[in-house]
Amino acid sequence: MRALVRYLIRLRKTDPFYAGYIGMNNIPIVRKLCVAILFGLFAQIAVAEPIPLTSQERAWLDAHPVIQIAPDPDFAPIEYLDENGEYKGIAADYAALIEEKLGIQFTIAKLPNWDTVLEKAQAREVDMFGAATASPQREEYMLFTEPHIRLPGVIITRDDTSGTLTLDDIAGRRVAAVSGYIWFDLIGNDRPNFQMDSTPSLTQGLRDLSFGNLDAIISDAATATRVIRTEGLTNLRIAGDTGYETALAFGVRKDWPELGNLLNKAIATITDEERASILQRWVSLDQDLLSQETLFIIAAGAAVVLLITLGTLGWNRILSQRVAARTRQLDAAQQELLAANVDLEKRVRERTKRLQRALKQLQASQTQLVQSEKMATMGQLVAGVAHEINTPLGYVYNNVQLLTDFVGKVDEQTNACRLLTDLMASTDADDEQISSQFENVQRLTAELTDENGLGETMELVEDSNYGLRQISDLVLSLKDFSRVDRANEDGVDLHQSIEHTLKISHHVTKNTAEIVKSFGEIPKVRCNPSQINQVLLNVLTNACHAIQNGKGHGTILITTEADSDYVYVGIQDDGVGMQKDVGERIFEPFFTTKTSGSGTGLGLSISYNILKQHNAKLRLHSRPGKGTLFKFGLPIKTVDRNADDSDQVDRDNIIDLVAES
Amino acid sequence: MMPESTIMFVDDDMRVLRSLKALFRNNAYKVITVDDGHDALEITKQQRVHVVVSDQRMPKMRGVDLLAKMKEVSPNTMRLLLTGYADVPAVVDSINKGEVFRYVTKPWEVDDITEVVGEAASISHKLFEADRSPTKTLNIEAESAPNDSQHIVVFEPNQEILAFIESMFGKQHTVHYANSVDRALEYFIDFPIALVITYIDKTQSEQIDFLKQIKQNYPLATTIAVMSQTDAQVAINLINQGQVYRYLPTPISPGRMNLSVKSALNYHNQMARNPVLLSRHNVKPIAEESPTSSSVSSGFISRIGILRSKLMERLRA
Repeated sequence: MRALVRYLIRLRKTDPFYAGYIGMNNIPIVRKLCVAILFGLFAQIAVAEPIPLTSQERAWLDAHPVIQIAPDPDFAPIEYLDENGEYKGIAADYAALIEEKLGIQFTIAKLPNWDTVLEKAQAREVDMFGAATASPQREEYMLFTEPHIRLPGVIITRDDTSGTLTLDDIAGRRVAAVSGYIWFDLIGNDRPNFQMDSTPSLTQGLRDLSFGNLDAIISDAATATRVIRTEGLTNLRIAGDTGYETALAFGVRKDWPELGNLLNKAIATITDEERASILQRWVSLDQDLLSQETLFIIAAGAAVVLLITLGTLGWNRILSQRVAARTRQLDAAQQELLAANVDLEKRVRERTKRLQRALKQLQASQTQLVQSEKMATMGQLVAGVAHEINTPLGYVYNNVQLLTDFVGKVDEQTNACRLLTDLMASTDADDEQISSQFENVQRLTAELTDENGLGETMELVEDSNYGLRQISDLVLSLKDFSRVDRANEDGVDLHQSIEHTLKISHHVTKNTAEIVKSFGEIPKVRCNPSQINQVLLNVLTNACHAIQNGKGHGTILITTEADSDYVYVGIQDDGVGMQKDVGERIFEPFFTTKTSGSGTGLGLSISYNILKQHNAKLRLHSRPGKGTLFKFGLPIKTVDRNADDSDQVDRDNIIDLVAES
Repeated sequence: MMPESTIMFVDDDMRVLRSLKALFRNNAYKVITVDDGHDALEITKQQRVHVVVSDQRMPKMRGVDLLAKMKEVSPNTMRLLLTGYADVPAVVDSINKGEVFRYVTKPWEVDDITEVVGEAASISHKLFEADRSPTKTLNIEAESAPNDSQHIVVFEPNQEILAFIESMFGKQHTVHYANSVDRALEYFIDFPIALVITYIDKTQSEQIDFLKQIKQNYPLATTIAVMSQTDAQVAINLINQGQVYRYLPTPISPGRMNLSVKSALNYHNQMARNPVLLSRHNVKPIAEESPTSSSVSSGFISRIGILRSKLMERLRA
């Protein structure tokens, strides 16, 4: 069937009626094709060949080796750039034909859209349009050849309109055309009040129309049909004629009239056969668009019997093509859905990844904070302990120096004694020598025992021993205390933990509070001793600060007791106490009542977490002006908890907060 | 030979007291040991004490508070702090409140403490001796604020406090600005400088060395150090080697600066009238302990000798 049509078109050229008809405007291509079927049988074949050029023309072409043609990249099937960036379409074929006839080669300027083409043409950065309509505006900077393509402008609407519409019918509605297209110039020149919006591309405009964002699109029928089909926009129809047509021609920059003349010369030699061949390549029968009128013409031109047969076959074909088209649309819709789904999944994955990253960062900074709190505590501790050590170190040094002097004197006295006994044993020594040495020994002995010297010396030795023991105790406590990250241990004696902590914090407590201990009988428990020490130190330090902020000097009562399930440790101070609002917040990270720089605000928050991890009971009782009791109970029988289910412990279960205002 | 000196040690640790008592027992000292500041003050009111050496951290009264009160009760008693804990507030208070002669850290060196206590004792004898003369009073606080005009040097590389000092004291006194050691020294040669105020923004600086050199060679001038970062060790050096009169951390409070400058000028006048007071501020020699003095030019070292002759001139006048 297709081969037949092609043959008929090739033959139609010689018939004058046919030639006149085909040259007429406003006649749909399909109708022209039908006419071709009727008249084509009598046509003859003609062949195109290069045309002779004058020497001036040849010289001009030689002087201009590069002629840039700038197509509209999205104006299929008139002209467009395909997915490989190749210049395609009706205009492209005309351009190729002209290249052949003139023996030249155009350079294709690949620009993103028509607006850019116009811009570049005005700037003389490109030299030619492939297919454009002349308008007074464009003729300011471009010359136009004889038109080679004619396209009627149609009104496209959704299929909820009925009848044939004119521009008057759609005036005042939301009408749009592709930005920069000739319709603005043509319609605007005659109807300055006709409002038209710009749409960046025909595809976009028709989509907006289909979705109800626009009421009508002005376009040529050919390109619009193609887009409607490829996009599957089934709810659109060609509702009427604008009364304008675009006669597309080559545009040539205005300062190159020689090229315009050359093109016109070449266009004049294009045969109808060549025209038809081009047209046939790009416009195929589209049965979707066959109007009743067209079918009538076909029927009238063909035999009645054939018509019935063909009509039946055609109808079947229409149906099957419609089914195929609908299937294609459904496929496309499904593809789109799948693509959307994939996109959604991708976005969810990305979001999840981002959240995980954020979580990891949070965890890292939490660890860092806990670590820095620990370091700050350790720093204060070490500074305090250093002071505690410096004092015994001071007198031990001093005493050793004194003892060294003392030993020197003892040595001197011993030597004097030995000399005396030697003299006494010697037969040569005279009495005077002996008595002089005797006096010497007496004097040295008196010096040694002077002012209770020996007793004092013994005291210095004892003091030094005491001091050294104190230093080693402190160092041991510090070592014990700071054995961080030790796992849970069985058989931890909380009394020992309390004693260690008291020793370590002695420099804080000694000038602030008297420590009163009331220890009960308690079993050993399973816990992480260094963590419990940290809690004890923290609570003790807070107790001291509470006393310092209150009366300055007070008492801290430390009690221990046990019932069948828990071992309890209570630390009671008689400091400033807390208001209820403070009491409720003290376990929050970064909450602090201390001046900036004197506390991280993390101490109690960390203590709280440590106790939570130990499944501990916690009780806080505070009365402003009277003091605070901090009491916690460690379970005697424990199960090691996973860090994961730590959140399952309800805060209310472990805190019994009583703060009175 | 020096007459017997009374040394009082105050510490809440009896072993420290026993140890120090044993150290000084044989060296012509009468040693008193007490474990509480109140007792120390009572005893000082009743008898002449030449040197008091106090611990800082004690349960009832801090060492610096005791020494500040001791300054009122017995200004001629030389005050030393002996502590194992160089915390910044204690050091700053020992300068501004206690006006201590030395800040000694635990553990102490036996030779150092015997030497510095000996020096303090001999200075105290001189002060008590001078105090006997009825025409002189050494009670600084009783002096009225000076109305005369004095010369003040503001020595700082960048003009951080100059405008501040000029606006506060420029009307009554002459304020000189120096941005280098040499410039500062020139003022000392040309004018009878009463007070040097420095702004020190780092712990190693030529301002610190200059303050030490001035006290060593021209003790008549009083010094105020304004520091942006407080370093306990630097402050201790400024006591022991620089006898800095006041130490002010930034930001400066105008009230404190006003009081400090007035008090410093007043004290300068006191020293000018009673040169024996200068001995109160004998500093530890800096040569062997201060390798950083390289920041002070050799020209400065040679010219600083002039200061001593200037000092003698001014004291005679």
